Amino acid sequence: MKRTLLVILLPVFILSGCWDSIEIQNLAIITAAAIDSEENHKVKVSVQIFIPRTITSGESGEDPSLGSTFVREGIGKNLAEAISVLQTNIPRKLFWGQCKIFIFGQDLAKTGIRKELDFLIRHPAPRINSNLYVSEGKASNLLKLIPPLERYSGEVLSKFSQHQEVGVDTTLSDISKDLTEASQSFSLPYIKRLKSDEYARKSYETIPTIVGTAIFKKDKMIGNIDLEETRGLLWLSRKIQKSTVSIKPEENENEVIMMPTSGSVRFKPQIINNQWIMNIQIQVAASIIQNETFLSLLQEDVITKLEKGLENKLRDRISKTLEKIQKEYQADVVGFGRRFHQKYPEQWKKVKDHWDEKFPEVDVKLSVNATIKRSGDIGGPAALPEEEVIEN
Amino acid sequence: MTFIKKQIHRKVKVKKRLSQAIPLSNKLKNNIDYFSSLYKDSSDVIFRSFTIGNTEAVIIYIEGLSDLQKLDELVLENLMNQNSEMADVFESLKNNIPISKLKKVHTYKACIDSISIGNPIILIDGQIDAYVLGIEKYETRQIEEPSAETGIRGPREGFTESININTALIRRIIKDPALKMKSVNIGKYTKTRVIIAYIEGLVDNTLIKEIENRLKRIKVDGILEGGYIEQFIEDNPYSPFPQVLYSERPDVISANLLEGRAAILIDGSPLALIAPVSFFSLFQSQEDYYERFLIGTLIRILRYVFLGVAIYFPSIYVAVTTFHQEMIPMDLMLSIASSREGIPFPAIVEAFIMELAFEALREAGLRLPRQIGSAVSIAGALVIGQAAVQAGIVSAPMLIVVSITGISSFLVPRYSIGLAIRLLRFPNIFIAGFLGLIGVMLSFIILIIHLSKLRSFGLPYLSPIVTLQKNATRDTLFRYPLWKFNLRPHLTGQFNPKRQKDNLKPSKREKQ
Amino acid sequence: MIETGRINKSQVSFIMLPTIIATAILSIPSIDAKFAGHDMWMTPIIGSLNGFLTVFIVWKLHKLYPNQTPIQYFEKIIGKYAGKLMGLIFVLFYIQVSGIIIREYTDFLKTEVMPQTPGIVLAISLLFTAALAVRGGLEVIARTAVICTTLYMSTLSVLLLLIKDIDLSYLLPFMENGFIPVLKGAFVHQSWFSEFFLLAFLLPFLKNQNGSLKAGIKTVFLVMVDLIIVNFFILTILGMTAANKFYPVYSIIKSISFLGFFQNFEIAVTASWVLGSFVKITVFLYAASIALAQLFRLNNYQIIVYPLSLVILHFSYWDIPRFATLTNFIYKVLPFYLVTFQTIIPLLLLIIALLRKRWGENFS
Repeated sequence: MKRTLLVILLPVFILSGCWDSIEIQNLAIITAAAIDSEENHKVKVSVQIFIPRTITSGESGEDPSLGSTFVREGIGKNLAEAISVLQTNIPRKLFWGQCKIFIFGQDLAKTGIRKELDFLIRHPAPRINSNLYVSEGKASNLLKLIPPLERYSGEVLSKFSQHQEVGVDTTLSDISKDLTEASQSFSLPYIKRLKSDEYARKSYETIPTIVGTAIFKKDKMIGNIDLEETRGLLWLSRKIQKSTVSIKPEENENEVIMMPTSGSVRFKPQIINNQWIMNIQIQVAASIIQNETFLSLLQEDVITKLEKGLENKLRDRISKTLEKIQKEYQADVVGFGRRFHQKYPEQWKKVKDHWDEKFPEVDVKLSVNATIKRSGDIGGPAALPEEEVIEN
Repeated sequence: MTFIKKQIHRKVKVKKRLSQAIPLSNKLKNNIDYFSSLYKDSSDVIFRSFTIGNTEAVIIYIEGLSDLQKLDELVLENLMNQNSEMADVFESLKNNIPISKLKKVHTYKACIDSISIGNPIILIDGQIDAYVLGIEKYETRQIEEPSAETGIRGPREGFTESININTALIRRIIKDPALKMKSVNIGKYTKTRVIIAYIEGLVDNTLIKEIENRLKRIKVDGILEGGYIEQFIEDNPYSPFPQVLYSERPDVISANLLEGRAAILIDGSPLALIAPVSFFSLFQSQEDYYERFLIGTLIRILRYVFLGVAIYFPSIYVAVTTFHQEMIPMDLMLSIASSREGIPFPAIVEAFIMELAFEALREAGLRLPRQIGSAVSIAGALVIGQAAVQAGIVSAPMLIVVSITGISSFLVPRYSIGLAIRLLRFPNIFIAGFLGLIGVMLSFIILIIHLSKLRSFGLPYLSPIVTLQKNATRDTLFRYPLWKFNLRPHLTGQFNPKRQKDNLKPSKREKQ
Repeated sequence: MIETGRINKSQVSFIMLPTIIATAILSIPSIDAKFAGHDMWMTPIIGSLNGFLTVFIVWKLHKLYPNQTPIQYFEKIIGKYAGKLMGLIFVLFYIQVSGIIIREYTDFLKTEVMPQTPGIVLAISLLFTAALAVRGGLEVIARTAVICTTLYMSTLSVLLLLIKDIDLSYLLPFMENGFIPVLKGAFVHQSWFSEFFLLAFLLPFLKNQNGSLKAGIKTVFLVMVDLIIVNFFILTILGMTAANKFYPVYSIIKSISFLGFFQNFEIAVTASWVLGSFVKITVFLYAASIALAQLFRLNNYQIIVYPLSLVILHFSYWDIPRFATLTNFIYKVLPFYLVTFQTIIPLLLLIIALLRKRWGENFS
């Protein structure tokens, strides 16, 4: 008797509802999101939603150039309200679980993104390791682009950040760490739409690309640096930049072009006589990928001269970036503050509150040590008869 | 009235005689009357009367159960040629009938028992004993490979329905006299002969006593198969998991006997039962031991992995696609979303429908005649599944899930636990639909609790893993090399640990 | 002896491991981060000292009164009425702590995994499963714990996938503010370690009474190592933002991304945490049931398991209207509460028992 009662009551208890279940057909899968500011201090959120097409009934004859995503937006007083307005425009439940791309419009970035960041970090749905970007102009325009190769434009951006290492790779968790640390500055990739005149069928069939880096102080964007300077910034973030360096050897109009392959970046903070010094030591190995000159690359002294040239070039590049960051923007996006904190906690405590002023005063000593390891498949210049090759 | 009363009275008398061990009368006529009335309307019971010298005698046997050739040549010929008086009938019988099995019985019950198993009895006028001739012979199946337990390596002999052949097969493997065969008769009308086989010294004596007690408790009309006995003697009849193992192969039975278990053979069934048994023995197949240890280990691990798949794959799929869609990698999710567009059922209903259909196909495949059966199962599943996807009734991912689950449930070597797995799949799908992965995990815990409570003749079902004996994984999760099997598994109670010499690993450097 | 099952020493380790770790890794690391800062990886070492102490106290009491659970020897130490009173207080203590545990865990599930499901449904499911195990007896609990703990610990090894994300520089500066913050962080840890007092309800039922001290010490050590590893990963991946998160371990598991394919696996890890909490709740429920049954001299404890679970369910909802109350309770009250009952009182009782023995020897 007792057992039958239990068997009857148990399903009643379970059948009263399956509260959290939601079918995949009732989800609107968000692949990327954009947050802009609107007039009247409102916030506009646009999301790029994936359109699942049935693949069962063979080819359904849909025009593939229409792409597999569409964009919808919602406007509200703040981000949370904008999202709930957005939900009223979409019959399916918004699903943030796969959204790893958030783009902020430039206007919004300049006025500060702290409030939006609170929503993104507090709410359990957005992923903490999503990538963030700043767009030139309105961010929602970038969502409307249909890439020719990838399935949605968000994928393009994440591939750029993670695989190609074109711009800085900053995630939400990085930002939350940086903002709670003393430096309180971070950088985001600056993106805009790629103008391609290639055989594009429609004007929106293109991709967003990274054209620089936006510099944020606290939570406001104070400026941006271009692609060239971004390379310097990436060196400072300990990423070996795999982009070319061209050297003009002395007495030569033509250039030898090299590509760094591996290396290491070391930071050593020092405080000597109350002067704060940051030593940056870079070791890099490079290989030569193009030789425009007539020089034979088999001679060691030729190579050592080229190495010197490489070191100078790199030093210039990085210094330029540092100049901009340190003196012009005075934003410690490279984590100097943290390194001083780790080594000299006592002194750090004193300057913690006015690090903005102290940061430009840090004397940065840059030293680069380059080795050219390889020169590709051939030594001397290609397609040149032997008499014309210059030996030294 | 009185006539009827007499008939009833006679019937009662007969019944009484059947149930009591009433001695025979020394008047042949009384005995013949008794037996005729007992075997009235049985045309296959033959009464052959003849004379031995001057005494009247009769042989009673059942046609078809006895070796008539021997009866004619060895018995009747010799007896009918007897001329002299018989001083001691039995002595002369013993010396005149060249039959190896000859017994003297005194009671009606014993005679009836002997006749029923095909041993003719000789009743002689003036003797209070009957003589039983052990010349039973009946058609049995030839020894052939067991169809349900095939393998690549190993003997191809399987048990048949005759218990004598089966015991002989075991005796051929285990020749030591320590192998004992205790006999019990169960079943009122079937009087099935059941034999408990065990190796004395290896097995725990209390186990044998317990088995005997449980067998003696069974008072039913008939035992048709080992399953009947299994259901009467198991510890927990409500559990879906089998607590005795059954097998058709003498090598499997012998291996278990050598580990200290007991086997129960039943006349009329080729399947023998083995007790006590643990969860892990149900996952061992004899192939694991005949092949080398690396393969044995890997295949065993594969079995456990697919056990998990077979029980939980549909429920995990339902849970993940309805509750936890974040877990699915992005590209897979977009594919699944595309293929689920337009499907009318929610995932849990779809899963149920597909699983039920698959089970139906499987059962149907069992019943069909062999030629059509395999074709229907395979082609049916594929074609029907494909058509269903095209029609938009089910989604392709679900089809794949169900097929993989179906295939994995075949990886289990023992059919009885395969049934348990099929059963367990359905409540899991149900719970997954209501509480997601948390529900699946809770149902897993409940399953573990149930398995931990289960005992098979005193042996905890999940031992030796959960009782953390030394070298527990030696023969359960993995299969250590045979030269490491130095100790027997500790079942329950007394324990004869050492089973082989140490240091048996083959080595190049062994001294000659 | 109302419990007829016997377990062996290794099973005791399997039982006690998740009992401590299951809720310790839920929310303690964030308090660690707040107090100890960059040194939070050291706090379990200091906290484990209390673990060793508690194990020693339990073992010594067990040696003085073998085959008896605390309820029984309370009466022997401080007399019949005071002992019974103390036993009753302990029963109530365990009931309330069990309620808190259930509430903590179902709150976590509700926040992160299943927001719409009523918490009470989750609590009932979990308690029902634990009650099933307790009704099966100590042997069933031990066997289930072996399997559940093995699975639970192996999924914690998924943290290893995070090795490529760790930033060792977060370990510095070392001892920035001295040793005191480390002690503050350790104070919370050591109250969780004091839960080793539950060993007192397991030791009387060991098959082989030798070597129980070594087994207990080994378990404390394993727990300590595990907590250090967890704290280390939280520190090196989250830095100081860990102090602001409610469930730091969950956050770092969310960010596991391996080969671009193994992402978002936190639900799977959460599901395996159910195994750990299940063992913890089972052990607490078992202790409460045995204690209550022995207090009232019942014949067996299985009959009070279900009613006791209902009481615990009630305690998990009573007087905790919002999450802020629960958090405050866990951070501010629970450390003192746990350590008082599970270390300090047993220590006092041990001293009394030893004194009584010595006086007894003097007089006889």
